[in-house]
Amino acid sequence: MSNPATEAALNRSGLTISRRDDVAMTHVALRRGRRADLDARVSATLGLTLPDTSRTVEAAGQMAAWAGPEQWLVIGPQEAGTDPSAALAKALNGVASVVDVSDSRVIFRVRGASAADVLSLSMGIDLHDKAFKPGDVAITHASHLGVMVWRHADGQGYDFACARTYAVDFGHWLEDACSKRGVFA
Amino acid sequence: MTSENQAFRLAGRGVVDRSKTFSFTFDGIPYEGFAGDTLASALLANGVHLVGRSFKYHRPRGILTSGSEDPSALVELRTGARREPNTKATVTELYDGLEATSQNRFPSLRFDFLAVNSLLSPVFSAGFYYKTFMWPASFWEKLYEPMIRRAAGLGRAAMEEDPDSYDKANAFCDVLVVGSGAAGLMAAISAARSGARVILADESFAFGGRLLAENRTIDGINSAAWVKAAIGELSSLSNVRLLPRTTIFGAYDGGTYGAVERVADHLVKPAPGQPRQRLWRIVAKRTIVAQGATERPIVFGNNDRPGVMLASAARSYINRYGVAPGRTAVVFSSNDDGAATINDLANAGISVAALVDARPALPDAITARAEALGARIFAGGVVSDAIGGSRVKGACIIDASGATHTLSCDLIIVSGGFNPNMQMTTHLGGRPQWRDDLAAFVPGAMPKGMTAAGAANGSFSLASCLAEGARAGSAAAADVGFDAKPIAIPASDEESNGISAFWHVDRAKHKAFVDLQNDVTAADVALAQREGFSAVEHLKRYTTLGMATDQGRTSSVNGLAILAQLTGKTIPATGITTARPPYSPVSLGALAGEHRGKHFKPTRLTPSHNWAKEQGAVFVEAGLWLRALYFPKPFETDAQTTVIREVNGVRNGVGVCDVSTLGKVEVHGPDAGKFLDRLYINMMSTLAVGRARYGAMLREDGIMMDDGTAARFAEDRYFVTTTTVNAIKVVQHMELCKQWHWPDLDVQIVPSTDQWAQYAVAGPRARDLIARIVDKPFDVSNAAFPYMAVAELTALGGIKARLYRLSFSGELAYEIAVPARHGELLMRTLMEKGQDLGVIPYGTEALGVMRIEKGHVGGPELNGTTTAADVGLGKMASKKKDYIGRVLAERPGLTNPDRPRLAGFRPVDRAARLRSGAHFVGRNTEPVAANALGHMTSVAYSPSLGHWVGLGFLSGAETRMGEIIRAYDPVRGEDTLVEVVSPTFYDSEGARLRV
Amino acid sequence: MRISCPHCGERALDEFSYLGDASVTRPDPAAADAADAFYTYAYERRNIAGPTQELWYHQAGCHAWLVVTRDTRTHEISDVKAAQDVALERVNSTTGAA
Ligand SMILES: [Zn+2]
Repeated sequence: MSNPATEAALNRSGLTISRRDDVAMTHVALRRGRRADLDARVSATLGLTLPDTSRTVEAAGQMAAWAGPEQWLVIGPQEAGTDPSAALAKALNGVASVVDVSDSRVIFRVRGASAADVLSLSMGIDLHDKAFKPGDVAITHASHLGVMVWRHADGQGYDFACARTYAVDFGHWLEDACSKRGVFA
Repeated sequence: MTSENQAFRLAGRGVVDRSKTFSFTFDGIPYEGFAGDTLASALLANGVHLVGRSFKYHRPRGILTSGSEDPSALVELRTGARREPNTKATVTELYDGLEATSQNRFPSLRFDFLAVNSLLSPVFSAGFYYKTFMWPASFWEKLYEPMIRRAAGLGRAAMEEDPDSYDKANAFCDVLVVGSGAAGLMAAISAARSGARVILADESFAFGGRLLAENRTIDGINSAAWVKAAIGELSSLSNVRLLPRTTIFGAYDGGTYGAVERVADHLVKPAPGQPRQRLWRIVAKRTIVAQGATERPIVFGNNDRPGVMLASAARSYINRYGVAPGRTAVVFSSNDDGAATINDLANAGISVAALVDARPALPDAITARAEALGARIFAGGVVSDAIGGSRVKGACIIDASGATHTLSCDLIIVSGGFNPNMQMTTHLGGRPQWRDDLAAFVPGAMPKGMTAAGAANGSFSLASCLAEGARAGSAAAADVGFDAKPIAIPASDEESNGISAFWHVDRAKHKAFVDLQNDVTAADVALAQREGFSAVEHLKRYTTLGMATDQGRTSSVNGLAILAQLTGKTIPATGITTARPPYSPVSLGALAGEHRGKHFKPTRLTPSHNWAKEQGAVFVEAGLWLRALYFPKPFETDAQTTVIREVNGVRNGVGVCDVSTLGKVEVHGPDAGKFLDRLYINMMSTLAVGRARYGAMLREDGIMMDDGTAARFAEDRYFVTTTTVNAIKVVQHMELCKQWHWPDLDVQIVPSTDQWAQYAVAGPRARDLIARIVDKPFDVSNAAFPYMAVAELTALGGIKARLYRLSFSGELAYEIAVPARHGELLMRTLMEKGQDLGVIPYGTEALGVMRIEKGHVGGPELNGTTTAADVGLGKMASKKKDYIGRVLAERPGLTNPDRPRLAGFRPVDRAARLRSGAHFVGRNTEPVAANALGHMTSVAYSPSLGHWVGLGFLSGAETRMGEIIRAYDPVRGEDTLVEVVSPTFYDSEGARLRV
Repeated sequence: MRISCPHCGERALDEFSYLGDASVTRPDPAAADAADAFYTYAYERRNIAGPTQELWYHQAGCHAWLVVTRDTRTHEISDVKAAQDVALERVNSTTGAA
């Protein structure tokens, strides 16, 4: 990442930060009264059930994350020349509003066994194992920057989706947050 | 220097690390101390008692306490950019290389010229701010205030920028324990053993509180050793976070606590990357206040002299730091705890000249011990005055019979009893309760989830601290669902805790201080009472008693007790002032954290930012955005030249401007059209698919909220834009309308500002350029894609894109959008493919000039006071439907024809410049507020017309067209004749944008 | 202060923004007394010492509007509901009555 001191700090804490650039994100918002239809079509198309609470679910390379009441983000690989939102829009036509938001956000990924310990200092939500379990998602903010965060299924890391135009600032904040050590010393 | 110079260091006592010697200086003189010392203990080890001069009277001041309550041992710490005034020597952890300087002395600490203030004390008495300098008013600023500031003050802040960094952190826990003395440690252990998440915070660098300062026995071992074992257990548990050097400074709603951790204040400077301090926001389900108690002085004559010290502080210096605070002591007490200090003094080899106790009789054990030590005993006596100037030389004692005795001593140990440190229990409005048996206030009703234990709760004995702490810890953990079993209470040695309330020696000959930090004397309290300030809150404001950085922790109870005596009321009837956060001072740096300098707020970068930077663009902050203001060429030396070139470049050729900052919102659903009809003043449901429409929104009070465009891509898919600054506000408003006003509408709102890189491509050659960007066979001809058409298509060879035939500049123009990741590519391609067309980038300055030339309203016109009619959009409002703001926009006040309305203005002398903010008055009218007709809101030099043009609001604008009026600008001393014209200065028929 | 969003859980105050009184609703714009009713709706507020119903917006979270019952004397929050649920109940009860 950006400077040697940060890199050294990340090495010490065993954390890695990466950017997931090749993902497609689609915002799915329920049309009134069409939940049963939506569930059926999502199940047929994506092979998963949209969560009712702040959770993520995964199936066959696609992830659906709760993104607010009656709204979800469907995240999957971005393939050149195809528009995954278009396929989903077609499949869900009439039962959900479907918007391509692939470029609205940038996803940063933090991996490492100490991720929860280190990041808990910087986040305004409780990241403790009992409070933010693998698969949990939260929409919150970090240092004035809006962010959607979810914990990986193995508990060993997090994805942070932040607005694209804040991504440079957010990246700095994340590096800084992941470099914080010695707090317990 | 060697450690032999620490002449007052006691062999074999204390918990300082004698293997680590630290050098430090005070007022430039080098000294030595040990790791584990405070600056105060290290100074005392070297026999230094005089550490500063006081606030108003410049009296010599010493070390009264051993904790954060100290009112007088204030020094400037460090030098240069790190200089920090008003640092308490009693809590400053000693480090190698520490530099400290005394405050408020001129020219030197020993000889202070302004000590003459003491002779002028009638001038500085209670209420002096309000009385002495009242008249004439102008004298205050010019004479009195500078004089007082010179004479009275509390140190100097650094003048340079703070070189250190500050951090913020969050923590969540089941049980927060504040204070790590006997009660706090037992509470933390009992809660932690149940598995609860525990945070134990202590303001000191060492855990243990009074257990380090007293020579006590717990479970058969020395109390300091017991602390070590307890901390050992706690630090081995993964569910416990220990926060030493951390002051919990405030309790806030919902179990939220503010704390400041002094991460690197014990180092010369922080290590690279290390913050100096860290501000914690702790969210706790349960909180145990175990902050102990603060001993209070007794108010007697010259009680502020260096060498007057609280009994608990003397014991701290002896037992924790291994320092003798003097050679010969007189002890003046009103309680057993204070009187028993003779034991610690004797153990340290300090001779006890006398034990003076205000009570007529003392416990036998204490009397016997005092006799054995050869001390004179004055039961029922008082110390009326300290003798000595910059150091105590003796004590004047009045015995029970009224006879006066003068004894030599260099130390007067004083104890008036203890005040529980229950400030935190009152931060959310709790009122303390008075307990006669303790002669102290204890916590009353506490906020939800908070309890107090040990001395903070008025339980002063060690045994009760241990037991109460253990109980509180288990109860708190059990409360939040943990299976907390009672834990064994360790045994402790015995003590006696008798007290008789005693506050003030009224037979003192000299000034007797209540508040040492603000120099408030007992006489000041009496004066305030005589002048009618007999309520505690009035007393506090009038005398400033308790208003200093020590929060009156050694003074407020004494002050109100004296007031109670004067008014003949009881202490509980007199009441106590309200304690508010912070418990002790918090640096502004810690509160700001990383949000300083360019990180004060986040920065949003547009998709073409990197490219624009390469072009040498000059950027401007627009809200959180950084936008290109203009793109200077190397030979252009002033902004005006560049902007004129950019405007001409657009008007005569083609230009590209990044407009991605506009708020963008997808509004979908079967009811989207109906929904937008209720938000905008004009009809959106009738908009054809493939078309866009300009729209305006009102607030419910009828005032303009925002303007923008709505494009319709499908029956159930609209895409609306907002102004850059209102993007977030408009989404919030839309969500309110959807969720609260009309929850039955089937509409979905997806904010999409960041999704699209959107560029305006404007100018007579815009079509030529756009045709080269969009993929074939898309037809951009005027017939196929007319003014206000929109389309979804592909561009740059297969990238999905949106094209809008919109114009803000008044020229033939498009806005083209691609997903933001392709934004830079799109900009580079536009520049490359438009080279032969003479394409130029233009910034927000040229954009602004062209919108003024066209009479489009912007931020200065949509200023929160103007209606749609005011800004010339009255005709747009639909009469066929209701919408937000319609009813109240029809109020008589808002439809009054005399309201200032939008108009254009041009200078009669075409060479004159215009100023926004200038007031309009009639040509032959006096330029006074009563005659104001409106004001200028936006001005620009118009390259297209060759003179300045302005927009503004003018009363009766429609009837004044062609009239010459004055644009009067007293701020800049300008007075310009202007002609009232249509706000559309350029191409008023709109022919250029429809070609 | 901390608010328990029914969708997101308990969050710090800085995630929310405040609008105002939730006990008033937008009047019928077609009613004969609409001008007066809207004036009252926009400007006239009771200053209650005690429990009040307030509209808060989970700005940094799920973008839900909330009806928060808060005691103005203690800041104690006794209830939080999704505003949309409250509004739907209101709409359904009025249409049901009519
Ligand atoms: Zn929420």
